[in-house]
Amino acid sequence: MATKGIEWVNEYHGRASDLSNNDNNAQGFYNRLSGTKRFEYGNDLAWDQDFEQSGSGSPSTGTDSSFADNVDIVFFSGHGSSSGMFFGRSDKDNGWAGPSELGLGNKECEWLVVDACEFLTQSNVTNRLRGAFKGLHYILGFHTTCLDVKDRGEKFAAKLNNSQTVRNAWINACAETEDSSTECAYLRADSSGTDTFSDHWHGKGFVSADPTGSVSLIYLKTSC
Amino acid sequence: MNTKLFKMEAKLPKVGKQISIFTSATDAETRERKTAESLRSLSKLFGIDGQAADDGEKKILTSKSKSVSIYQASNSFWFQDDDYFAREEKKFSQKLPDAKTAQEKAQKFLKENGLLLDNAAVHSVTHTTIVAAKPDDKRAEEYNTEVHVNFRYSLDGLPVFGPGAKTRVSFVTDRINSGVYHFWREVKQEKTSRDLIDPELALEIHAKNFRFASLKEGAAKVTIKKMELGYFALSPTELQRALIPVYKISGIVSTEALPEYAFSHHVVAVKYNEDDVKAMGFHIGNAKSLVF
Repeated sequence: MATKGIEWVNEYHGRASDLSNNDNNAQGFYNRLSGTKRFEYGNDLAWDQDFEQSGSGSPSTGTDSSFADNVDIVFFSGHGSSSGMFFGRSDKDNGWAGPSELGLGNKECEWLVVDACEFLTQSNVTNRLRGAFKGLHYILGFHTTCLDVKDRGEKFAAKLNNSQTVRNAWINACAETEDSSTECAYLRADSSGTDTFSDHWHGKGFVSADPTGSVSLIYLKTSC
Repeated sequence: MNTKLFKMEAKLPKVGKQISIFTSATDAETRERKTAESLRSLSKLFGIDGQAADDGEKKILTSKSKSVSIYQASNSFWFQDDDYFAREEKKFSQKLPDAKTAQEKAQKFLKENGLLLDNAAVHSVTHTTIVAAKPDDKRAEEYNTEVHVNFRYSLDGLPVFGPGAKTRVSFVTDRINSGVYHFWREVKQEKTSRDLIDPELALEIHAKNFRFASLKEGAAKVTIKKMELGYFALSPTELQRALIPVYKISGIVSTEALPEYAFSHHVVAVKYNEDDVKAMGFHIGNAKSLVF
């Protein structure tokens, strides 16, 4: 059975401005997408180390094998930038999950959704995030800033349930929730014998084998 | 506004005392009739026949790689051809029309099909961009596979922000449309206008919003880069009885704890209460929520 997990942050305790809709946004995804719920952590229970690979970065306190890499799809909703996903507390590693600390797919994760500003900014994106792909198929996110909306997660999940490809579902969900100055993006991996371009959610169509070893990376950005 | 925490780098918009209100017909009968009309005309326009599926939000016609979805809440639509839409293959970069040609083609297409409204104008020409990096290749290859002509809307000389006010026509050659979406609600101007909140007051409301309450002077800085008056159109999936008058405020937040990041907020630009929220169908929260 396909598994899913979410983490969201609205309260940043002065580390950043607070947000309003990330609970609803992530929960909409969690409740709508078919499959088995494995974890939801919000605000002070959402920790950067949940997304980080053990031994990566400094501090190297990653526990992704119990969280982000322990589900087929993981959805983060909060602040972000090309430096990483931002969390509301810094005592569980350092408060942000930076690109060099990610290493997903060596256990379970196929799709990482980062519903946050600029995590997938084009500049140097393939070098910056290459290390995150240890079997991971996709990172879905934004090249630009994005709005703090309550329903993108649910829209994305509904489209996955309706058998749209993962890439199409993300592009469509973003176009329905942003104006045309926003650019959504994805970064995906392929290796010999894989076809992640055609990925669907589990049970809704073709799902590629995991791209492992030396992977090619393909980045796409498009205006919403 | 607390100047130790906030820095104003934007010019205040010049505004009048009042703002027009634009409403949209949302009764079920009108929407059902419009959806049925759109199904007929779009089926013919894009050459897609058959029985429409209903996913609760949209009526969807599909034929091979082509589909057109009609949003029942707003009578917006989205056509896409998966053989060409958001493709990655480099062959799609070979015959892309230049920006000028794409713009002319898009305007002609919309005009011929009754979709070019008087209050729409080209806002930008953008691309679907691909960056492809082979294993161990530090120098990735970059190319475009689609050209998008993006139209935006204005009312009473003011821009309409939000996901529900845009039209996009996309091309992979000067003859092939990869997709078209038209997100817009037909609106009419109400006879009475509403009193507008001053830009200074809107800035104050924004600064006192809970989002900034936990930022500490000296440890954080909020720089306002741009402030505009306009209207906000919700997602085409939503029923919206009136476009929301808003100030759009954009800027950057810097804190000691995290790398700086950009934001874009909307402050409701008229005073309104629960009765307004219910009558106008503002779907952004309640009368206590003036910033979204």
